[in-house]
Amino acid sequence: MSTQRRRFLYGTTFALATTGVAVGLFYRYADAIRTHVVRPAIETYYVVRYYIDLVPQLFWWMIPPAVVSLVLLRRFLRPPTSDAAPQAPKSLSIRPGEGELTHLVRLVQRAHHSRFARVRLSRTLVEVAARLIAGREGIPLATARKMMLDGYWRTSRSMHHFLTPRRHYTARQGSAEFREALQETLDQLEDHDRTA
Amino acid sequence: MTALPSSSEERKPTEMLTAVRFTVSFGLALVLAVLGLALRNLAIAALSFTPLFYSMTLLLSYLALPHHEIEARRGVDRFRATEGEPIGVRVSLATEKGSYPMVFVHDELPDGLSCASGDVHYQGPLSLSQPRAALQYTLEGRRGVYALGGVHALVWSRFGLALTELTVESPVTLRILPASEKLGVIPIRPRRTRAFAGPIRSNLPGAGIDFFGCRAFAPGDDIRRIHWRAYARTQELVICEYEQERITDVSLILDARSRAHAAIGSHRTFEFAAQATASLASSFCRQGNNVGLLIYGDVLNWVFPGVGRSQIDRIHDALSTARLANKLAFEDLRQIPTRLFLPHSQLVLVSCHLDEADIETLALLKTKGYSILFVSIDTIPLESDQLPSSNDTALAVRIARLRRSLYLQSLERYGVQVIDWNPTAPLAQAIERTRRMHRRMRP
Repeated sequence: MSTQRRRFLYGTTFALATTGVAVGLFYRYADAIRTHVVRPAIETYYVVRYYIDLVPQLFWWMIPPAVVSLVLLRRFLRPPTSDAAPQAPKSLSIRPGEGELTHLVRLVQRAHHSRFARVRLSRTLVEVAARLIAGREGIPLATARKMMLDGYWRTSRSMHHFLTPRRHYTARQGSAEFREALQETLDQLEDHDRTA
Repeated sequence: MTALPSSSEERKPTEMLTAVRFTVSFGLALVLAVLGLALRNLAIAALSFTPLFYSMTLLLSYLALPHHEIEARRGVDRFRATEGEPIGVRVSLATEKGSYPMVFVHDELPDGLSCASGDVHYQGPLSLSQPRAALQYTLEGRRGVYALGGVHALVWSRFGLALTELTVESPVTLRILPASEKLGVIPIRPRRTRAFAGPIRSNLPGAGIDFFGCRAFAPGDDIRRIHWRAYARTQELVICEYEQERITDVSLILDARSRAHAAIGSHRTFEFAAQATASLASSFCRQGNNVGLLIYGDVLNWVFPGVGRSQIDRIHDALSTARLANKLAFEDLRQIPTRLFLPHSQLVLVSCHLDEADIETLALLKTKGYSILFVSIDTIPLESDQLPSSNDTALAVRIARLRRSLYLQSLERYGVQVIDWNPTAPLAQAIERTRRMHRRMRP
């Protein structure tokens, strides 16, 4: 007998037996079941229904702030999507006595999990790139920033994602894609720096 | 060896250990005796004999403790030393009247000083007849000013039951100066120089080594400077001029803002900055320049400009007490008190930190006519050694390097001279690299 057939036979037998026992119990203890099971269940249903109806009427004003709070808290509740990235500390500001490189490492680690950190990292790179453009083109830094805002790096998709202010598409990428985009952006920035 | 005329004895009433032992043993004897008498049990009463005997012996030992004066003389072979330089210390102990059967002497060292060789402890008898007991050791320490206070002595009675503690004052103040290295000629080019001869090119014609230009002969000119080949060509007398070399005013600025420095493993970047400042100050002073120092970050910490060996000492003394400060008013370099600096003089800023605001401030100083040399301490190699190697670290290192390189390039475009110093290598090497680069760029 195949396993599937055996499983079907066992299941059917169990269902029939359970039904038989239930029918027997209902037949034998009809009053008790009505008093102690059916009536409390119906009462509970109506009580719950009453409160379900009442709550939105009384507390409807709580829903918008609750939704906003949930949206804001989502990044803390979301599980890490990275494959092997270690958990980084929560704080992103430079701690006393901490070097800038340590701060940057922390930012890169956090960027695997946190959109906020990605935007911070992207802003850092935007400043670097603006300075690079200003040096290469011989223009003021403010002009370089404006040029970036207009999409200076449109030729490269990853650079455009990273280095166009107010866009920060990288925030929506997965961890691996983000790392790849970051590496590609850095490669190209370094190339530009060398050739400048 | 310099002997200090100081030794005042101070007896501390801290015989806590003896007092506690006496109280416990005597109390136990009293309780057992009272209990034995109350219960009319001779055996329990007899038990009180042992603690009673112990407490009485302790009391007698304490009363028999010698109370003579102990004299301590601490001598050091130098009061000022640079980091890593050993300071020899000798503490001699003597008693004027009686003798001590057993003393334990400990010379307590403040934080930052450590015993490099020898022993800071002595244990043994101290008497009139024996020669003076002496501690002899060498000290090494970090940059700072240290006050060596009293010498602590524990004195035991003859049977070793009672003890007392003495602190014999013998104050000495030691100053550990930042380590400095010998530097070559530092490539600075201020717009204003002084009247005296020195190593700085002054952009003025006169006596010198580097060729400056030619002009027509004027009566009174030295005939040795006539350009004879030009005369042969043009039949007109032409004088060769050379660039004068003078001394100048140099103001060193040490960045002591706490946000500008970090503690990386066992290294503190502020120490590197202090060492670099000390080396630069020594070098500029040795060349005969008028050198001042501003420690930027706390209240106004300014060493007035001066020349010579004594000025090096003044600057090194100020650097030995320099501390990091976290003052909101000095958050960025905009608050540098430019009124302290002579117009068109040379400013030398030593810092580990560079950001957008600092670049703007340096550019602003440049537009005011100051010549600026920025000694930038590169902490990335040190930090990357301390961090675990991973893809994230590699990416962060690349970002940090790119950012730093662009910041320094921006500064150079503004006309600020930059010395990029990796503190794992000597500063002289970085200066030499910058000098070579400038020589290449010169027309």
